[in-house]
Amino acid sequence: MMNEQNLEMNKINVSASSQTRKKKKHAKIVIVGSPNVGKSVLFNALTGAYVTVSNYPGTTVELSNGKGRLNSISLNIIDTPGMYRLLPITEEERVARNVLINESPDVVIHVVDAKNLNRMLPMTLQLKNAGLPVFLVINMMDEADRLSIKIDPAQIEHILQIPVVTTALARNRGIKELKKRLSDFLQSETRFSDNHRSVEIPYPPLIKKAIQTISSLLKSRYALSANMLAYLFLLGDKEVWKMIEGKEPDSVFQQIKETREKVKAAYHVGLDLEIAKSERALTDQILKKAVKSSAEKTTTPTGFLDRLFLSPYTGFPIIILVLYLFYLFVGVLGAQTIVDFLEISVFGQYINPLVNKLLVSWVPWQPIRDLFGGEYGIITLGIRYAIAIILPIVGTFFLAFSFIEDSGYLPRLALLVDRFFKKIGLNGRAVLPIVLGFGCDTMATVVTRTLETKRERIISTLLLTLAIPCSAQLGVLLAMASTNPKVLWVWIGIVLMIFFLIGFLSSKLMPGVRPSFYIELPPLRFPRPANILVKTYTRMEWYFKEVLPFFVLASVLLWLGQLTGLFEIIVNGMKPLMSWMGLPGDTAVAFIFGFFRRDYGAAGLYDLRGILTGNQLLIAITVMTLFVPCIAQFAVTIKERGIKTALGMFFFVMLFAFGTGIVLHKLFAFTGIVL
Amino acid sequence: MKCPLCGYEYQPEEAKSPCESCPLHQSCSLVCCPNCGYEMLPESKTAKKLRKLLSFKFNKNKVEP
Ligand SMILES: Nc1nc2c(ncn2[C@@H]2O[C@H](COP(=O)(O)OP(=O)(O)O)[C@@H](O)[C@H]2O)c(=O)[nH]1
Ligand SMILES: [Mg+2]
Repeated sequence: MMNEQNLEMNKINVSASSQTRKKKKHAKIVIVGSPNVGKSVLFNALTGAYVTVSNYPGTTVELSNGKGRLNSISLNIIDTPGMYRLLPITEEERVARNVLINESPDVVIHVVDAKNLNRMLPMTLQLKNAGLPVFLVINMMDEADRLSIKIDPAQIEHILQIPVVTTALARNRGIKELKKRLSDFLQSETRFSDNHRSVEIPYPPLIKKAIQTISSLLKSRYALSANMLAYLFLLGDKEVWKMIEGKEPDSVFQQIKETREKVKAAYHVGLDLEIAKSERALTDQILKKAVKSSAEKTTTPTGFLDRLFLSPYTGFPIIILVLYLFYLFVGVLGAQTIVDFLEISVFGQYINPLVNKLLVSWVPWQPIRDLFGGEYGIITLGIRYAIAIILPIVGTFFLAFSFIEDSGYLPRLALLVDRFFKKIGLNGRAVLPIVLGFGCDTMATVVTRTLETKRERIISTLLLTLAIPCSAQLGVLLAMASTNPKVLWVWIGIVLMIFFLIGFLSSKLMPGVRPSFYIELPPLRFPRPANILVKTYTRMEWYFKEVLPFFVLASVLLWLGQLTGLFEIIVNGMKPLMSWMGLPGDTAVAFIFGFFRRDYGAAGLYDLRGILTGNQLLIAITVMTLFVPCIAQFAVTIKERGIKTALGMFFFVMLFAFGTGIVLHKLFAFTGIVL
Repeated sequence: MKCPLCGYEYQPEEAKSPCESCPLHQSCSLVCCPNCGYEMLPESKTAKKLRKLLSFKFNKNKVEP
């Protein structure tokens, strides 16, 4: 009895806004949508002079609040920051979502970009599904016209049973119509979305049932519909999770959790992916009926190959095969054939002797000669490393990587790894983009954004320092390791272990970070040569812009060090350390380079390839991999965490890296392994 | 641009928002996918020119804008 009553209350609450809509005097309007779709332009068109801008409590996110008038109704309008979906990832999205939850708006105006309906309509579906009074504004029609995209709003209105208007707000097109429809909507007796003739999102039966089960289990009062709560709970929304946990009795919460676990287990690709897929399916269906554009393409994934890629039994061997091909191309062709040619013939026989000869005959001062030529000169060392060693390696590396990116292999790799990680209870998705991506800032972003306590921040910055976030640098190390195949495989094993460690630690440390994202499998295809070349070029340009200045800077600093004798002191100081790791004293120089950038250090090791044994190479490369990534990151750490923490971290990482080297050396000596 | 890891399509501007809290972001030209965080490089002006040149050469294979 009691329960039924509560259930009724819940239902009443859901449609509370429609009840009070009759003969409205005041109305609250919330404008939502992705960034840059024209929300603020609409906000300004609807509001008058009374606008206040304030920070959302506890955040730096700004909200605009304005008053307006529409016929006899006075409006209170809120302009929200951009959001892409109901399940928030960024702080902006969280704020926008919370406004939706807490303000019980009479109308939610969803502004979308006419050019990107396929990406934006899923959120319309989510809003509608959440029981919110959605009013869809398809903006930027002027640009859609230019691209000859034809949109039939009446069709969308008919399918979704929500008001739909098309506008070009910045061109003052469609505003009158919008206001009229809005006023009608506000004064209509029944709300549009109460109409049950509208289509449903074709969730798989299991998910649909789970949403029903969970929403019927919810007995307390909430500011948003049980459907939406169930939906967000299924997706793993932390706030909703907490909200439900706090409001429902333990036994009910357990039941709800079990329901989720059950469906989750049924979909190993991830619930979020299934849900996103259903939403996209309906979106596609709608667009097929309502949008005519010249460029429409549909493709089906290649079934047989996909099964091979995604099954662990064939998927992992395929990874090995891909790595092997990668090794042949980057490690053998790039790092051996081309490097040897440039390094030994071009620089060794022509450029360096020529530079030195010119310097001797034209420059009378030895120090200036040493700046450009000699052992550590800008040209003979800096430029030589950059052009003769790094260029062929990153060139082949980026070429191979662009090929893999364009072939559609990465999403398959991601799914495979994700499944595997999930089986052993880790969050693979959180780390994979970082591992595969190119730069180094993602991790830093994640770190500063999400971690609350100082301890967590320090540990994760440490992870960031130890991790190998820059795949470009990793590529150079990979190429160096390839000079000895046995070393290469052991090193790959070590790097994989580090990845797992990072995956493990970050899933423990940052459970809330990008818990999930959907992955869409594009068809496998043979990449277009032009695309690959442009991608490779883009990356090389970026790499050299970032790297070359460091090489020159390093050469200058080395020159200064040599001039003052400091360099020699440091090298001599490091010699005992080198011998503890079983490395020749000269390796110290490579490690000093390595402090500028790992790849620079790797190039330094390359210079020593004649004198290093397999064991020594492995030790040196492993230590280099674990080493402080680069001066830039060190500087950021100082800025972010203060000099004390940064130095502490620096010494810890050094200790860890060199410690590993020493342990490896002892291990080799003890077991007698020779690589 | 389209993320090669997860397939999400996005504008370069969209991809900047996750970067804003990063201390390096002013000097950094990378963007990351709003869906999964995979990092990419937007094409530079020279790269665009190169694309035009190549699409002329490879004009049998249509090149995506
Ligand atoms: N071409 C065109 N540009 C528009 C239209 N509506 C808005 N804009 C422009 O899109 C940009 C973003 O608009 P804004 O309202 O700030 O977007 P918000 O991030 O959604 O608040 C601005 O430069 C507007 O001038 C439109 O209908 N057509
Ligand atoms: Mg705005």
